[in-house]
Amino acid sequence: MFKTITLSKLHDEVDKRHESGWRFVQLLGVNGKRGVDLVYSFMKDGKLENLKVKSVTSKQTVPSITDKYLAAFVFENETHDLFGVNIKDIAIDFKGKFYNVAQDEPMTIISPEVKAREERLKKVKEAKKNG
Amino acid sequence: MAKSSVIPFGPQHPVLPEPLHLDLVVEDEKVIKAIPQIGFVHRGLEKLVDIKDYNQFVYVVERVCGICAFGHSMGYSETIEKLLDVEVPKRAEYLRVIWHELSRIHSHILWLGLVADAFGYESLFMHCWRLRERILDIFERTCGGRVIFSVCVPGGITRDMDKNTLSDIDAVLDGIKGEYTQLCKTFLNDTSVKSRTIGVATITKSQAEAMSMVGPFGRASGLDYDVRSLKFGAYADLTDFAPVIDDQGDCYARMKVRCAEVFQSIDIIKELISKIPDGDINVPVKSNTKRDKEVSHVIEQPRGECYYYTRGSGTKFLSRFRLRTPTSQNLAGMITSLEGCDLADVNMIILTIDPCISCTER
Repeated sequence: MFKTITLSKLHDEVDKRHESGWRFVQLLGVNGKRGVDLVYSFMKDGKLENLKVKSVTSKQTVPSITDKYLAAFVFENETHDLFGVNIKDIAIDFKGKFYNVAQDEPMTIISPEVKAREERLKKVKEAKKNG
Repeated sequence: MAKSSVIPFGPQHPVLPEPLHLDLVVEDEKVIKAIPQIGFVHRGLEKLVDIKDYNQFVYVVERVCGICAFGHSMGYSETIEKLLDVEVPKRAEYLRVIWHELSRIHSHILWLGLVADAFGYESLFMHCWRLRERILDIFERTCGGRVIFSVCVPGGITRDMDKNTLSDIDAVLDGIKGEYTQLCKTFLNDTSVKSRTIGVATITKSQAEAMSMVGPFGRASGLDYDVRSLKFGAYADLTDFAPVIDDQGDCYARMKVRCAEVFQSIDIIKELISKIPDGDINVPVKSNTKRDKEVSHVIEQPRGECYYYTRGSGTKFLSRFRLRTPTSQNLAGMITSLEGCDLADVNMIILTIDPCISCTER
């Protein structure tokens, strides 16, 4: 199950889940056109729930959830290094040195293959529209 | 006043099967803090979804790690099947679980051998790995490979097992059970093993819950969670499954849990062999993914819960694939278990956690 929330509501939602005994599963980033979508996953009694914060830009600051879930430090550092998301107050902060990547924010790079596919899809959509 | 110094541990160390660096802040032989550093085998495999379609990408996923190879291909395939609303034949589900449980047995016996080697019990290490060879022989016979199998694909599996093969597997497992019982007794009843592991690096149940620990590492601290209890796939047809739990939370408890899980896996395989249905082993999977449709899925790997996420792009390619492995979840627990321990115990503590760094870094 995926539920979309705003960045401002993130910490409150995480707090609520922590109080109710939800277990933290993971945090991931997905590169999108307008920014990075962050997906936080929690589990309780066999039920897996994913909270999605859409289109986080590099200008925005994401609050860390390591004050409630220490295990998140791995994923927050990873999301910072691979996607360039600014996360503040991570309990164990590697300050960009978690992975020694050759290029900054490598997961935000749109490869030529993906560009070509998107263009092809666009052309097909237009052709269908025009009959 | 004690003088503190920093001792580097790894990334190359005789007890570490994979590269992991720890800066151990020590005061007079006591570890005060452990600061991990990973990234030595980060290969950026998740980015390969850009150039490999979902049918090709399964061969990348199973190469994330050699020990957990089948589990990753199974978890990935099940996630794709969820994304495309594909129903897999029952026989394929049974065979997947049989291979997956054989992987668990192989992983735990490999781990036991490494722990014995770290203790200096070279002959026990060799006996464990000799026993493990029988599992690898089963893999070679049924899949053609000992480490990377390439039999689990979206839609089912590519190779079947006939009745003779299944009954031979049953017989091999009976043989392994007897010998493995002797190995476990020798190891777990040894005085020096007990003195080096009982009461060492204890993690309480509340600490394990706070750090969201998974797998045998968490179950050794009393956490009652095993993804197999959620009854996905052929696990739903097991008559009786309960996670192996210990409430002591120390290194000895972690060893006991892993040793017991091998017996549990043997029982699971024997039960599934006795009731495996006939039928097809795969269905064709060729359709495009739905744009922006996302699914998540979990399975129980030998080291714990593994989370898979995919998002469709409207084509045969995925726009995102994510794999969260149990060791990355357990890093917080590992750091906590090292705090306050003796420097000489660091090897043993890390080994009883059974980290898989290849999986963590992808």
